This record gives sequence, C-alpha cells and structure tokens, in this order.
Amino acid sequence: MECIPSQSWLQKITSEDKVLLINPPIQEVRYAWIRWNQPTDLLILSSKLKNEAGCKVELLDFMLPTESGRVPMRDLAKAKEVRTKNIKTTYKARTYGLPLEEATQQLTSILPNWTPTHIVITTMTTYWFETLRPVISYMKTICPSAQVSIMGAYPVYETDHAMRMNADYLITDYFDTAEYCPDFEVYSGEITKFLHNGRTLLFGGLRLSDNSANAIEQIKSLRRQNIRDFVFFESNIFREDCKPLLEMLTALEKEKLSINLHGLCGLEIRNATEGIYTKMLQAGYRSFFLEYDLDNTELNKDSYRRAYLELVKHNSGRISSGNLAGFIMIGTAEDELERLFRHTLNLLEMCGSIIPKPFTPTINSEKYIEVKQKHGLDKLTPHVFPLAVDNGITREEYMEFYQHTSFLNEKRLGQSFDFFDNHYCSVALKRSLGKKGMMI
Amino acid sequence: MTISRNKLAILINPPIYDTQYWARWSMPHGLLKIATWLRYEGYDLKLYDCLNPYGEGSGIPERVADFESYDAVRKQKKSVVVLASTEEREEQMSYKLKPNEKWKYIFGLPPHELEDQLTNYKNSIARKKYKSVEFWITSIMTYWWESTRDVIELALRVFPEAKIRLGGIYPTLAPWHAEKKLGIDPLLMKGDKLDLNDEAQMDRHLVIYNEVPAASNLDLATDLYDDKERPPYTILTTSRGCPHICSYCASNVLNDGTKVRTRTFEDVIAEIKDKFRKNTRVFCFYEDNLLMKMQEFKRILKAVLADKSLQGIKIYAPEGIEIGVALSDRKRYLLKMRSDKSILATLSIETVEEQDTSSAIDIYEAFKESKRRTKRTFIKFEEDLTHGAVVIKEQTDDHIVLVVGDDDKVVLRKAIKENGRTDLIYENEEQSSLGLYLVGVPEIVYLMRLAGFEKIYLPLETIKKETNARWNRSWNSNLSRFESLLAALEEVGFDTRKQNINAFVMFGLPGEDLEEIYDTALYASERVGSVIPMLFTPVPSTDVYEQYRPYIEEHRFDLHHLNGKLFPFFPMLRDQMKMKYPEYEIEIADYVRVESFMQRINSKINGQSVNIYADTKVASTFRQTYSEYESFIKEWV
Ligand code: B12
Ligand code: SF4
Repeated sequence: MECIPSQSWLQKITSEDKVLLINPPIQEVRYAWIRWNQPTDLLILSSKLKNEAGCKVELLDFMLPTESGRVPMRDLAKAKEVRTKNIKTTYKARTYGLPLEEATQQLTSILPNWTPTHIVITTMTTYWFETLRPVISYMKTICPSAQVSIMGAYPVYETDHAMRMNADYLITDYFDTAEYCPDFEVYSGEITKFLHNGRTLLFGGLRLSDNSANAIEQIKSLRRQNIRDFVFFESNIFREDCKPLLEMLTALEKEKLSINLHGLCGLEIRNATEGIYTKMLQAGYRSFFLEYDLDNTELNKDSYRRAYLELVKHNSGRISSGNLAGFIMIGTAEDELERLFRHTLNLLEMCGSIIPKPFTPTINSEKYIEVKQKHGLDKLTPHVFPLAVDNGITREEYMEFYQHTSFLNEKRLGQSFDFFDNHYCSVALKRSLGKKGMMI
Repeated sequence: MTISRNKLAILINPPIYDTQYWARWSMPHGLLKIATWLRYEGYDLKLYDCLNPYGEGSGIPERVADFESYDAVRKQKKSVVVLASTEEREEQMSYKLKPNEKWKYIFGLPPHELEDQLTNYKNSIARKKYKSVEFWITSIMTYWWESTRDVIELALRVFPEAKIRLGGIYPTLAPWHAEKKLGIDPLLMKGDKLDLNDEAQMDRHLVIYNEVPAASNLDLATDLYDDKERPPYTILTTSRGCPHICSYCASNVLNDGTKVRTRTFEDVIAEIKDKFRKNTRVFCFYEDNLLMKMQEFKRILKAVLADKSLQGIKIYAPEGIEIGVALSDRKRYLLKMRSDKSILATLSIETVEEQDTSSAIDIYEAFKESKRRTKRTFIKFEEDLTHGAVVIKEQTDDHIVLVVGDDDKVVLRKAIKENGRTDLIYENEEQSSLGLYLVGVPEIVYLMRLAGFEKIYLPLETIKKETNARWNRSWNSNLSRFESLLAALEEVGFDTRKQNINAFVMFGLPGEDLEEIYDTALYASERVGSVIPMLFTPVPSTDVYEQYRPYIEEHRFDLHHLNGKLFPFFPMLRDQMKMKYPEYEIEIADYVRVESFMQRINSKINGQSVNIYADTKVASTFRQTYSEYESFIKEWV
C-alpha cells in the first residue's frame, strides 16, 4: 500500500495501460435524487488519462440508473447506531447501487479479452467508505494483476482511515483537471456499455467551464445521443457575478438546442444578479432548487425577493408543481425548531415546495473532528444528524420534523400546503391549530 | 326454432354522472333481489351492471389479485360543472379547470355502449318471441337521476315496445320527480301494490317506490354475472329500518317508518354458509343502522366465529357503526398482559331472571311481582385463549379466582357501580407477577375484531355538541364516547393510527363554521389517523331538505345539483360567514382547499400518518409557528 500524490500516480500510467474506473455502490440511510447521480470526477479523469497518458479507459458505474431512473437498493447494510447523551437512535441503512455479484458477472466474462492493469475507485465523501473493502477484495480476486487505487475525498482527507481498505494506492490529493471536460463518450464504449448491460447515460452533468464553447460542444454531442436533460454540477452556479453562467446561457440560446436544464444544486441565490432567473427560464431551465440563504439567522429577504419576483410574479409561464423549491438546512448546531418551521413556511409560501437538507460539518472543521472522534467517521453522514441532541433537538424530533415537512409538501390538486392567504379557510385553520395546547 | 311465451326482464344498474366515485361495494343488491323474485315468477333474465368494477369493460387493466384494488371503474369526461350553481357545459378534453369548477364524468359503461350492447342482444333474442320485454332499472342516489333518464330513453329506442319498471332509492325518496322527469308517462305506485299478474299495471311504465316486500329477503341473483365478471364479495342485509330520525337521514322514508325488522337468524346464517361454500370470502354488511338489533347481530357474529367451516371470512361494514349504540353493549372483560397487549382470557357478567313462582292473579299484581323478582347475576368465564395456561381455581357468583401460568393468582370480583350497573374488578392487580390487567370493552367490538372486520368506520361527524343537537343526534356521539370507543378498539387489537379506523367528518352544511370543521378533522386525525370528509348532501324527503326547500328553489337546483361534491350550500355559507367575518375573503375554491386538506392530513410517511395535533414539542412548535405566521411575500405581491 502506498500513499501517493496524484501527479506521481499519473506518471505510473502509460499508453499500454488499461484503466478501469469504478463508481462504487454506497451505504446510506437515505438517498434522495438518485437519478441525478453522475461520477463527474471519474469522467473528467477519463479525459485527462486519455489525453495525458493515452491509455485505454473503461468505467463501471454501480450507480447508473435504469431507464426509469431507478437504482437498485437492498436492505443489506448494517444499521447505523448513534448515541448522544445516552439517547440511542438506530437508523436503518441500505446499500444503493448494482449488486456486486451482478456487476462482476459482466466483468468476469470480458476479463479474458480485456484485463485492466489499474482500477481506480472514487469516493465522493469521506464517510462513504463502507462498500470499498468488499469492492476491492472482489476486484482483487477477479483481476489479481490489477493495481487498485482509491481517489477522491476519502483518501485525501482520511488517509489513515483509508489505509485499512487494502488498496494498492491511496491518491492523497486531487487531480488538476481545470482544463478538462467530462468524458461522456466513455459510457458509449463497447466494454463500458457491456458492463452496464447496455444501459447508458440519462442526462448530462456538466461543469460551467470557463470556456463555454467546450460545454456547448458537449451538449451537442449528448443531444445526438438523444439526451435532453442537463445539470450543472457546481457549488455555486452564480459565481463571479453570474458571468460564466450568463455566457453559457447566451451561447445556449444562440444554438437553439431545445434542452431541459435543471437547477438542482449550487443556486446560491445571494450571488444571483438582476435578471438572471429570467434568462435561465428563457434558456430552458425547468427547475430551480434554491439553496438556503441566511442573513445571520434569518432568511435573506433580498435574495429570495429577487427569485420570487422573477420566477413567480413576473413569470408568465408557470414552473410545474414541485420544480420550484427552497432548501432548508436542518441539523446544524444552531437549529431552533421555531425558526426551522417559520422558514419552512416562508419557503413554502414563496416556492410551493421545500426540501429539508440535513447538515454535516465541513471536512476538518472543529465539529467534523468532534463527531469523528465521538461517533466514528461513518456517522458523519448528515442523515443521522450528527449534531442532534447536543443542539437541543433529538433525532426522533428530526424524524417528526420530516413528517411535518412531507405533510406540507404533499401535492393535492397540484398544490402543496397553501393556507397562507387572507381567505377564511386559512384564517380558520390558523385559529383551530392555535387553540390546541402549545408547549415551548 | 324455440318459441317462448315467456316474459323477459332486462335488469339495469345504470352508469352514473358525478365528479368522483368510489366503486367498491357497489353491487346493485336491491336489483339482484328483484331479479331472484322475477325468476320465481317465471321471467327470463338479463343483467347489465354498468358499474361493475369486475366487468370486462370496467377499465381495470388486468385481474389484480388484491381485492382492495377494485375501487374504481372506467370514467370519461362528460362536462364541466361550476360548483354551487346550475351551470354546466361541454368542454374540450384539454380544458383547464378554473378553481370553482370540476369535471363531471361518466362512470361505468357509457350509455352509447350500453345501447350497442342492447341492440346486439335484441338481435340475438329475435327468435325467442317474448310475450313482453320489461326493463327493470334501479336507481341509487337521487342526484344520479340523469343517467337513469338517459338509460330509459335509450332502452326505449332499442325496444320501443318494452315497458319500464324503475325502483330503488331515487324513486322512493323523490317520487314526485321521477314521475315527471323521465320522459315517460308512468304509473306511480308503492312497492307492496306491485302485482305482476295485474294486466292493467303491467301495460304501463311503472315508477315504484319503497320496498318490494316479496323481494326484500331473497337471495341475490349473482349467477346473472358471467363467471369471469362476478364480484368476489357479497352484500348482506340482515335488518331494515332505524328507530331514530336524524334530520338529514332518509332511513324512515326508505323503510316506511321507524320500525326495525330483522331477518331470522337461521336465514342469515344459511345465506352466509351458502355463499361461502360457493367461494365468496368477503361479506359486506349494508344496514340502515348496523347495531340497532345488537343481540341479533352478535348472535350472527358468534355463529360465524364458532363455525370452523367459515374460516378465512372477511367482513366489512363501510357504512359505519353508531358510537353510542356500540358503547351501550354489555361488557366483555379482557384479561391482558401489559407487556405485549395479548389477551389471555375473557369473561363477562351474565344476568338471568329467577323462575316466576308467583301466583298473582291480576295484571297489576303480576307487574309488581315482576318488578320485585330478583335477577341473578354471575361471572361467566368465556374463554381461555392460552391453551390451558389460565385455570379456574375457585368460583362463586360474586368472585372468581384464576391462576395464570404457574403462580399468578388473579382475583376478580363483581362490584356494583354508582349507576347500578355491575362491573368486574381485578382485586389484586398490583400483585400480578406477569403484569396482567383487566379491561372491559363493549362485547360487540370484541366480536367484530374476532370475526375479522378489516376496517372500522366511525361517524364522528362533528365534535361540536350544538351541531349534534341540531341534527337531532345528541344521543349519538360526543367526545368522551368517541374516546371510550377508540380505547376499546385499541384494547381488542385495532391499530388506530394505521388507518384501520376511519372517522367520517361532515362538512358543507349551512350554519357551520370552518373552524369547527378543522377542529373536528384535526381531532379525528390525531386520534385515528384517517379522516374521510363527508360532504353534506341534502337528501330529498328528509327534514333538512324541507328546511332548505326555499333556498333550493330560489337557486333553481334540480336533484343533480344537490350533490355534496358540488357544495350546493356554499352561497348560503358564504353569506353566513361574510356576516360573521366581514374582513376575510371566502370563495368556493376555499372549500375545495378544505376538502384537500382533509386528504392531506391522512398522508402517511413511513407507514405512519403525520400527527400535527400531537402534544410533542415538534407538533406544538409547528402549530404555534403557523398560527402566528405572517405572510413572507405580501410586500412583494
Ligand atoms: C351502501 C350505502 C352507501 C355506500 C355506497 C357504496 C357504493 N359504492 O354504492 C357508501 C358508504 C359509499 C355510501 C356513501 C354515501 N351515501 Co349512502 N347509502 C348506502 C345505503 C345504506 C344502501 C344503499 C343501497 O345499496 N341500497 C340497496 C337498496 C337499493 O336495496 P333494497 O333497499 O334492498 O332494495 C329494495 C327496494 O329499494 C326496491 N328496489 C331496489 N332496486 C329496485 C329496482 C326496481 C326496478 C324495483 C321495482 C325495486 C327496486 O326493491 C328492493 C327489495 O325490496 C343507503 C341507505 C339504504 N338503506 O338504502 C344509503 C344512502 C343511499 N346514502 C345516502 C347518502 C346521503 C350517502 C352520501 C352522500 C353520504 C355523504 N354525505 O357522504 C355518500 C355519497 C356516496 C357517493 N358515492 O356519492 C342517502 C341517500 C342520498 C341520496 N340523495 O339519494 C341514503 C339513502 C342514506 C340515508 N339514509 O339517507 N352510501
Ligand atoms: S343516520 Fe343512522 S341513526 Fe340516524 S336515522 Fe339514519 S340510520 Fe338511523
């Protein structure tokens, strides 16, 4: 086992090599929006490897959804038990992704003709490591000659922990991929396609590159494969005063590509500039999931107002039900139920849908280290609410909060809970609910 | 060539026009009884049940194994109705509804297809030369009368010589309407006057109201369904009539008074066994008031339970059981284990009158004597459910000592309560090493659980006392009774928050306040997790209908407008509420919202319905936050 910086690792790869990239299955308590999963880092690495090392690259994506957007899920995972201040909560966990036996069946059958020399497994977070060991042993059994490497957040930040996974290399920093785009073609390669039983991409997950022409080229090529849906995987699509986004939207409009864009992540609304939402609507954005934006502890009225005016009030069309939503972060150290509910109602009133997003501390922050020491690395998944209890809200209470938000969110006659106006049906409901005993 | 001089009866359960329809339990059992009767009278029969979800053309894609899936029939858009008005118009399929509109659909076999089928049938029987062809048509809800009219019209188009016989609930509750509005010139008559041998009658079209007594207790002629289409359940009616006169209910008109009649016990059991033998597993009780003849009903349940050959039976009572009546039943005492809630044994207190030994001669003396006569009450050990772990050690009329397991001694003693009733007390409960306790529940509830009742429907209707009084229903429910019944249901093993128990909540009624509707719905949702909105429908012939007749006439409402789903009383409600709360807006769309709110509180998350009325910190914070909520966007709008 060797810990190795990305640059040195790259130098080991030659044009003779055959690299198999793996997006592993994961164990988790919940997995929302599984259909929007795409191993962008692997796809970019594929571009880089093909270009710099000139080697052959194939992909085994355990999380590739079926045509109906589903990813297999099984109840095999070990339950996650967390105990804070002597209150124990057990979360049922599941394994998401193609079962190992099924995936390797395909792989075994092509091994005589195509034997990888390197296997690279990616990790999206530091706490999704539980499936790595079985995947690695399996790979080592069926292709004993391949060198297995782990890349991504886990070996970079949790190198010591990752040493237990029996890999040959731990890549301890991120590849420099600034100038590369994701290699979607890899999905259409004969071997990769075979590994996925003929399934291929359902959507394109792109980066807002500085060079929009590149991205447009990619979109065009995906359109030729009949892919219509696109997402920009970006932590802030409004960065740099929306310049990269604007450029992209302008280019897209010129091309008249008739695509659907989905604003699922990175809509950091405080950086949104005037008119940007309108422009997004024109360019084919179908959904807008607004990131939670606070000004101290309260909702940042300015940013929400801008979104509301452009997306609801002055938007002549209507964004279909559920496609305009506000995220609300829950599970932070500062959580207060009253505020969470107030913000929930605010966002619901404004967007018609809310999405609770459980919080996990940023890597290597003080809280991160604390949780890791107290509960173990795997308990950093936000779905077990690592900071609960200590923040005055129990895990059961978070469950109940979820129930309340689902109740509010549920669509009836195309509407979620909408009793906010001055109609008597809203007023009477407020009165009725207000009468029942209150605590606090 | 066969020459028949028989009479032919074509029996029709028409399709219906409505905005919503729940097709389960819709078997036209009145008509099927009529069919049996006509068969005895020598008729040839042909059935068209246009609402059969099990029919080939029902629109249910394939035969699903799950019985519960058959709650819908095919539907197609017919027109757009404007709520609370008489406005109705045809629209393109793609029309987008306004908030005050609903689609009116044709549910079941559409009339033109029925006409085609009748035409084919006519050709197929051309050689039979029937002496006469008669259409026997049933009509269920008064507000579905339009499809009855259309079916009559098309029937006469295909068989111009045929005679119509219309019966069922619509002609019974609104004979004055059925006489005039159906495009025929009928003879209007009561069911008991119907005489199949009276030529003068038979030559006319007939609109028949009330029961046809000769048919009332007959079997259902389910053999008229094709084997593949026959519903897998049957409807059981064991009694008719109800002694109460709730002001919105038509029971006393339907049954010609408030007398309750029950079929004989032997008759009912014979029917159940016969159907079960022929592979019907699901039985659905339709009664005006299921529990009104409690003893008879219990006797039936006990017989079903005791009969090994009826194992696997499933029983439903979708009309609901009256709360007050259920609670008035004598108690069955359950000896239970606290840890797992299991029932170990059951007991009851039996009362028998002492033999009459008096020699009083005159009636008055005899009466006084009977008052004096003592009743003997004693504890009855009903059943040991542990296969021998509960043993009676000692027993007198007043107490019983049981030993459970090896050494848990249970002393139960009779006690007279303040109200004079006898109760059973667990004397040494604190000493129980197994953690046993005793609870008394209405026996009927216990039997219903044992007999396999799948779901319980409770007419909670409103938690407001005044409203119950206004409906002449003070005897029925009030909160504490509802609570007691729920507690009993829980003790016998119903899971109240998993939607095994459903509470009807009434709304759409003049004089109501939405706040009161919410109070009731939220309370019900907290307690049972499943609320079924019951939209108020003024039923012709009832007190409520008469009371609002001026309003109905003023708005020119015909019967089909008086359908709860169209909120016929909204204009009145709006005026009432505007007077009370001039500062708020109120529109018909608000009522649609309240209706969908009731469905929303039933939503289940991880198998549990949400409980926004709970006493937990989360629920109460939600309530507080919402009730103090200030609009976030009002300045931007
Ligand atoms: C079962 C039932 C239901 C079931 C319906 C199931 C279904 N899928 O159809 C459920 C629980 C869903 C239900 C709901 C409602 N119901 Co309801 N329900 C009944 C009930 C108990 C039985 C109906 C029935 O099938 N009767 C069978 C009859 C037709 O058979 P029978 O009496 O043995 O038949 C004899 C005679 O009628 C006659 N006969 C019958 N057919 C024919 C045909 C011919 C040709 C002849 C000659 C004679 C004849 O001869 C037979 C032998 O004597 C009646 C009360 C009652 N006692 O009838 C109320 C009743 C029909 N319901 C009523 C009401 C108000 C409602 C609701 C509106 C309540 C609410 N507010 O939500 C809802 C609306 C539902 C809807 N779909 O719109 C009212 C009537 C309403 C109206 N305007 O017509 C009734 C009368 C109750 C009452 N006591 O007031 N209901
Ligand atoms: S509502 Fe029930 S109790 Fe009241 S009259 Fe009708 S059948 Fe009887």
